[in-house]
Amino acid sequence: MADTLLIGLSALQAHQQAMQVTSHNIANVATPGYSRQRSTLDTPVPENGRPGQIGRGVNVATIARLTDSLLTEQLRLSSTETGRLDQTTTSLNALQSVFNEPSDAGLAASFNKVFSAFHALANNPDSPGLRAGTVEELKTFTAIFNSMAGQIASLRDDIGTQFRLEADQINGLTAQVAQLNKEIRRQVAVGSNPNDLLDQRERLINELSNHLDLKVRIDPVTQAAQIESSGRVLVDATGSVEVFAGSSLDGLALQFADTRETLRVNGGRVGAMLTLYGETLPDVQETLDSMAQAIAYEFNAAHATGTNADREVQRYLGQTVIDAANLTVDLDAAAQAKLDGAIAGIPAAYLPRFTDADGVSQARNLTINMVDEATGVATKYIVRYEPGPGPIPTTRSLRNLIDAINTGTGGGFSVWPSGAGIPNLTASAVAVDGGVRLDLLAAPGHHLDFSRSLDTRPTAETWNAASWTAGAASMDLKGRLTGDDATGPSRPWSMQVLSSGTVGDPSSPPTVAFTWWAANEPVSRTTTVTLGTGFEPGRPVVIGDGVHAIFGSGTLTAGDALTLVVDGQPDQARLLSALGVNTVFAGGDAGSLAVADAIQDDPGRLAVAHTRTAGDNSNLLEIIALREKALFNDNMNIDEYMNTMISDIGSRVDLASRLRDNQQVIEQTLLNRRDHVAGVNLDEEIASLIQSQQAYTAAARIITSVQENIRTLLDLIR
Amino acid sequence: MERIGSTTLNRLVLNNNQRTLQRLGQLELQLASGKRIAKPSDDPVGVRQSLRLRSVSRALDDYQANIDKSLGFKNMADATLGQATSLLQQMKAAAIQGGNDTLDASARRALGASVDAALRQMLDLANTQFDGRYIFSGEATRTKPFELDETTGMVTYRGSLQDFEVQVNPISTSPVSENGYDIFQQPQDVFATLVQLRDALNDDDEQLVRDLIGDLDTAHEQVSQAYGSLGGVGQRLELMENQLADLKITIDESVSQIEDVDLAKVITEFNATEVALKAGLDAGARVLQPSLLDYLQ
Repeated sequence: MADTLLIGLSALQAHQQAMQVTSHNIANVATPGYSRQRSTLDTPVPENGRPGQIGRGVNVATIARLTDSLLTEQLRLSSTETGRLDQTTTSLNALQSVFNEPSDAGLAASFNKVFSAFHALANNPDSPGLRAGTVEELKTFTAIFNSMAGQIASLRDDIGTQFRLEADQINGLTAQVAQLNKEIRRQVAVGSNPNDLLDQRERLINELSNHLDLKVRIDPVTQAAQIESSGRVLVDATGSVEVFAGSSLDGLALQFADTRETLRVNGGRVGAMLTLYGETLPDVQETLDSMAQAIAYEFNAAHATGTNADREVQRYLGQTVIDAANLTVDLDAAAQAKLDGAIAGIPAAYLPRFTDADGVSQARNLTINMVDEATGVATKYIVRYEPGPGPIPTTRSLRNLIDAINTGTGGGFSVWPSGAGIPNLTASAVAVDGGVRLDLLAAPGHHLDFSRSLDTRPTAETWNAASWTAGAASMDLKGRLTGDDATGPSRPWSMQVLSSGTVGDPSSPPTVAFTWWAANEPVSRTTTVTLGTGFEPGRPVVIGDGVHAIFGSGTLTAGDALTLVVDGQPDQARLLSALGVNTVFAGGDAGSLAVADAIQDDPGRLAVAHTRTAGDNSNLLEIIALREKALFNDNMNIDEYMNTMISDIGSRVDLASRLRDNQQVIEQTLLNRRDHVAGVNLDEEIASLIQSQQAYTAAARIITSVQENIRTLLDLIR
Repeated sequence: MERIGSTTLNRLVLNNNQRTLQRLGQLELQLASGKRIAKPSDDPVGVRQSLRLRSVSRALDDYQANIDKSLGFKNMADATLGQATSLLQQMKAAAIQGGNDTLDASARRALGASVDAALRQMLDLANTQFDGRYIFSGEATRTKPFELDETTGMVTYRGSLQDFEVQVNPISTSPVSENGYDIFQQPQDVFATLVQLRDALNDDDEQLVRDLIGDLDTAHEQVSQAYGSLGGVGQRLELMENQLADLKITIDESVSQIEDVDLAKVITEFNATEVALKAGLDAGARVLQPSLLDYLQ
């Protein structure tokens, strides 16, 4: 009897437990990451008796956790990828909105406005209002550059801050997992199934995987989870290791807190952050910087050799600040490229070029026109650099340049025609905060410019000294060399008097022959003119290619010879833009780009012309032509480069969000598949509940039956 | 046979609902703004094209303004050279008359005076200004081109031999002003001829007057040729202007095609998506509700 009672009791207990497990499933139908549990009933060892073995009831053998470890691993990997894509998409979206395109307020629109202003100014080069307006547009343009550079920098800083938070979160999660590991191990050791703890640990590991890519191994015997990253254990049965948000040469680095060894992270949020901070954002910053540099360099080169009829500038102070220690350093770009770092103050992109594409040093000219205000006559001086015959080129430092201007020679520089330096001009290195600046100061009553303007009167020094006749008719050169820019050293133009005579006298006209070079042609040409009727003093005598001469009254003697200074490119090495002399932009990158001080203070100093004639707009035309010039990769102009940058970012954002959307779909699919095995189906659980309930009721009936049997037995005894 | 977990159904309904809502949101934004492209990632290739077209369109505005300016100058030059040509015609008539034997010195002096007046008028014409600039001074538009020295009777050209140019398309410029030297003094010096004529008349030198007729002819020919070619230049400029206007219309249309929404298309898709949303919700409600509990007592 007692056996039957015990059987009934075991049934009550077993079915009560089964109901408990079912209820736990029902309660957790919506719990994320929950694996349903199933109780397995089993019969205990039967009793040996007559007529044979008799069963002893039922008990709950195990409470199994139904899960699929392969799916678990796949979901974990998906979590890592989702983390990476989420972070990437968010940051790239923020980057995209920095550029604010397409719109009427972005960089492209401002660039358009700058050129519209230049066009309007080209129609009316003398207008002070238009000059001021153009400078305002330039200022807006540089402000947009500055703002973009600043925003990209602060996006990068934000990622740095977030990175530190990531490290903290990772540490919190690994500590919790280690805790659970210990508890689970203990439970497994005593033979119980820590199902809920296993679920909890799985959730935590998933969350951890969102942050970085990991290798996870669960020991089948002890159920301890071992988590590795970069071949080193992060969490195992004994505990966890902390990580630290550090930095390296390339940017951010996640490091182990004790050894400061860097983890190789390739996925998850941390992986995305490392890429964004170390590659993506710096790339974009660099693209923006090279755009700013190219624009500044080209505009400055065109502007520096321009001039202006309304402003007579007596002093040019270079905007570039150079470290005083670098006064004697070789200025050439190619030479600097071999050394570490550029000359402080001159960004590498702006350094002057004294060598050609093959690295061979070439001769280079710099033209300085000195205008005497009393007579209005200009004299052209050429600061000439010669590399010399030997394998090591002659020196070309800022000190050399200053010495040459003042004394006539300095390193490889010399001044032509005057061997004693440029009269009425003093060059010096002015000490300022942080270094020196080049200062070119004309004597009172003189002013200077660097244009190719030819309003010059060759002086006595340039006449063939032995044959210069005192009182000879004067000759002025006018106009400017048109056609292709002469990029090589300037060729000597000359004039020879072939037969004597009086200028403009039809009875005894002199004959002169001009030898001149069309730009870039290998041989010279000769134009012979007889200065008779139609060539009276004051009449233009056309030589060629935009250059003409005007003779004064007087005589010319056969044998007189004269060297003419005609230049196409006044600054062949781009020295002026490197030193910040007569430039329109200052600053070496997108964050520091600004309009040059001199132009901001006086917009009237915009160099609109190539000559000192009022109404000349030719330098503006040269600047306008920069728009179509291929400045990047030999085939892209500024607009194309800008558009490529913007659409590249757009493509990246598009790709990242598509990948992220795809990943979300994948994750949903994985979750659904997991549900097939581990998900709770309420109908199933309710049916199971009813079954257990009925079994319980029936088991209770066993007890009451036994109770009645005992009463019957007891009644017999009474 | 595969089991279905209860959460699977929930998840399916919710996710599909979310996706439909997201698309609906996108379409609503397009309708409200009228723009298909709100940011570069919406259509990276399209954005690139539209940015390029926008800057071309903007540049076209600039070129058109330059051509307008140019045309103003040309029209002025046109009128001026027309007057100069007929003036030279009159002077030739005066020379023929002055070379006539029957005239006496005082008649010739009267003619001389009229030639002097014509000379000054010719000077004024050559020094014409438009919009504050000298049109025959080449690049030196602020410098008065022709200066008469009374004592020597010589007219000196003070202007520039370079043209004042403006950009009319991405690769070429067009001259706005004229080179007065080439029109009035080279190869035949119009002023010198007139001065010679005046002096010959005043000196009663009828042979010289007759000799000068040939020079006057040449001068007239020279100026009238310049006048004629101006007309051609003006026509070309107007043609260019029309081409630019047409091009701008085409480009603006292209920009609109890339950037703006096709309203009909978007509205249709919006309606369809709205219907899908409702259908999805309806189906979801029907799938989610029934369970075993409904059927137990």
